[in-house]
Amino acid sequence: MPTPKTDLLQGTLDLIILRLLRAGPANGWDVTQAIQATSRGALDVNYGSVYPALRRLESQGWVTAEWGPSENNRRARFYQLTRAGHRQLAVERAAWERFSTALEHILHSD
Amino acid sequence: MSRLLYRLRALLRPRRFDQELEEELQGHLAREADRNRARGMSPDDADAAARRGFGNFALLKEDARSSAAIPMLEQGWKNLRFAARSLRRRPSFTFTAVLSLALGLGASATVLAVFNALLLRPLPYADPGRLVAIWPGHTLANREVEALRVRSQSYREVASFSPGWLMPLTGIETPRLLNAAKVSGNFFPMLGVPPLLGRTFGLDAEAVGAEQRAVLTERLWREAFGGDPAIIGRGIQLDGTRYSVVAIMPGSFGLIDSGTDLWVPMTMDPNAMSWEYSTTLGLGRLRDGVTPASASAELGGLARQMQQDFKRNNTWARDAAVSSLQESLVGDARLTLVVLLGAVGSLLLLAVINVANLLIVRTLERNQEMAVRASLGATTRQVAGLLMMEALLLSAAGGLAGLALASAGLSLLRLILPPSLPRQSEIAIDGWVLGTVALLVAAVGVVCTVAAVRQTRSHALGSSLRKGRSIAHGGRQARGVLVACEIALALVLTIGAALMIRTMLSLRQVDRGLRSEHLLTMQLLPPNLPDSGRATLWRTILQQVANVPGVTAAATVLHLPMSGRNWMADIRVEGRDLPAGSPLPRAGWQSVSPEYFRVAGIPLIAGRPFSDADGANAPRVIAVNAAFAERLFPGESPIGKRVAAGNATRDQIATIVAVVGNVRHDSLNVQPTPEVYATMWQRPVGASALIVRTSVSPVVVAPAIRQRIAEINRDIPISDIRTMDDVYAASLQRPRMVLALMGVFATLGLLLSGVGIYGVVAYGVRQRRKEIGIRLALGGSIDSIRRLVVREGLRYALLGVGIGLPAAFVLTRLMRGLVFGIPTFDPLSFAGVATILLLIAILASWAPAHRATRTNPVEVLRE
Repeated sequence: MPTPKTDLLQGTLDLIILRLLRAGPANGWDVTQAIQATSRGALDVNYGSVYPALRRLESQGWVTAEWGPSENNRRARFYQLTRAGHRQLAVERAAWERFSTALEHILHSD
Repeated sequence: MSRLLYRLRALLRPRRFDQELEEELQGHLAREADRNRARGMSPDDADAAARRGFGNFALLKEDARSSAAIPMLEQGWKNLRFAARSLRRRPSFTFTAVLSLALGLGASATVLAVFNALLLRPLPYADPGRLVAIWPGHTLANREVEALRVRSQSYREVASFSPGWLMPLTGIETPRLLNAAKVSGNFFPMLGVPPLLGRTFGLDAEAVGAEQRAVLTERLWREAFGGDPAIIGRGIQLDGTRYSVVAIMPGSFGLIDSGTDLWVPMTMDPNAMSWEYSTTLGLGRLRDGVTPASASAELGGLARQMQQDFKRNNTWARDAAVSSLQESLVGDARLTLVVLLGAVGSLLLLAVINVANLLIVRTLERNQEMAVRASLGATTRQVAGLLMMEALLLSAAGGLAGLALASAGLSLLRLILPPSLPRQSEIAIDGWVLGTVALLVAAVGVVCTVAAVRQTRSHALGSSLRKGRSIAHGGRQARGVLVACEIALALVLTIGAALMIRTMLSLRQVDRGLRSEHLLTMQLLPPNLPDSGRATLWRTILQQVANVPGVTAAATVLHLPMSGRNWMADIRVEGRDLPAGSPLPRAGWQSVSPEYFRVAGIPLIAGRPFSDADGANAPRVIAVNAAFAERLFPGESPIGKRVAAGNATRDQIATIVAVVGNVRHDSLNVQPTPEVYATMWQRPVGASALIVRTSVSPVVVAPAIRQRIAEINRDIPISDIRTMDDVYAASLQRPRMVLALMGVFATLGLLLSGVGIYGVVAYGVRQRRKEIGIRLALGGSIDSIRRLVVREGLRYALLGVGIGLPAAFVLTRLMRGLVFGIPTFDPLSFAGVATILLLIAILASWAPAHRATRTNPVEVLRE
């Protein structure tokens, strides 16, 4: 039975990517797979949009990238969190938690 | 840091950036496809499925790129390249626009360079903002300087400066007549400019009996002493006295009187009353917090006190005032500069309107393109960015070309600047001028963009795809108004130039009061002699010179008309006591040889001419000019009246024996003022001008005269050998310069407005091709078409003249101080210029009109 999919909330893709990259350097493919796996298929991510997002994070200085061989020996771009990226992750995470707590309160306020 | 590097890389190397992204995406697709195949899909299906999960590939790349770079900057860069390409595709448009701006900006830069050097840049002295000129009337004596130093609270220091002392430099191969400035001891320390060589003098040089010292200009040092550094400490024979040279001042120093050759200390004898007949300028350095205005107020009070203490006559403190040194140096050049600045401002505006107009036309032509851009999602801002880039590129190119024109213009300007204009050596295109031009370029770019964007906003973006034809009309109206403004500006400029032409003509026709043709003049300075010796020497000189072949007569005069020098004398009429406190009338004072009036061609109006019988032992006589007679003896004959003309120490009652014609002494555009003439034999003076009437060309006899004088006395320096005609020509230099510049600006203005009319009318014709075609097809005559088109051009011109005439009426009032002999509202100039502009409008419309008549109706109707 297919899992019902949820549209990605605006701006959360950055948070997701930052969070996933905390585990260590990864390329775009790894990131898409990780999103799929960790969200247990519940999030409908357009995988293409991961790449612009990565570039956006790079342009903000939150991740750095360099070319290297992937597991199947293709050339791939590996992204890594910078110190600023770690800070940003903390900030966005806190913001998200505030938001979701608030939402929780509202939803259970009967 | 890494962020900036990343963005820069994305910006500067877009292709590399795209390639990397492409590779990354392809890598992803390949892996996705691999996995699909591993799951058992056919290779084609695997690829397709991979792509499907990916969305719009191109959009993705665009998305990544825009997140990567600073979008505006990148857009700007793209716009710039696009603008450059599109300008290159339209060379005639680009050329016209850049040329217009180059002319406007070039003229502006030229005048700005002069404006900056003369009015804005601080004087090259220590702390120049605190330096002031002090004017307590026409003389400033020892005790007055001393009193100012002691009594005034306003100054840290007071120095005095008296230029224009002619001193013979002898004891060298060719004696020279030098133009010395006497300065108080603290003059050099106060200005604080280090000498090129040696040490300038200080306050101790003022003391009575102090060693005579001289500070040379670099120019004199090089010309007379070959730039020999060993001159320092050596003695020179100056005015018959030994002066030791103590210092050389650099060429950039000495702005107060550009003709000064050297400076010598002024002896500040506390017992001496004043330096007779000299013009002495007081210089002061204000204390902190004191303004020239408050110093001026204080001086007014002090001057009244000093007048009583020193028993000076009541005219003494008449003009007491303190002004900033910079102001007083530039003087009446300010008005000239302000008017010229206004003129180039108008020219620049003309150029800008032209370019704005061209851009509007171009934008309208590109409405289709703009509309496509808009329908593809370009925002107004993006379109504006594109237009802005074009405008900025044009104005920057115009600015660069303008600077090149300005540097050429400055070298031409140096040829026509009157030598009396101070600080000329400082005129240059410097950082300030460059900065101002850069600002103008930016402003021009913005103004032109706004003009063009307004067209796209109102007409193009929304509706132009659908109704492509009606757009032209609104734009044409806007451009018509702009062209009318151009005409108005050109009209004002040209009327300004016309007024200068008329001024020049009337200045040429001014009755100079003497016959200047065939008159040679030169400046002589015999050595110091007692009065009787002087008179004898002058008699000898006059006799010898009169014997030179080609010379018909010779005479002397203390100060040549238009020489820039004059002595003023207070006039007391015998038996006429003025009420206490009212100022004594003043008159110019001359000492002339008896033949002067006849030689110079000054008419005798009443009385008898001077004769040799009016000698040292005869009763004192003077002649007065007509202005004197009118002022002091209105309605009665001055002949036989007795007056004292001169200063306290020289006052001698003399009888008026003649009234002679007025000579314009100071300037052709100033009404003659009262003058008195004493005779050389009764009042012998030292330095005088020799005037020689010749039967041949005056220049031819000059060497023989020089020779003859050298035979009399080798140590008589001769200088300023010029014909009287040249003397007058030199006096016209400033109006001629203004005329030349205004003429250039006005011509450019007419040219630009002609181009403006042409552009609008030509575009109008192109827009109305269909209408014109139909008219022709229906049997409209060629003449009627021509009239139709020319009428459009004329309509703009008439509108422009309508706006311009009242504007010119107001603005030319600014020129009152420059205009002479005609009212600033000169109907002839106004009407003449308006006619010229209408003719230009017809001419400029003629070519488009001609083209319109050759419209092929069949072709047009088929379109």
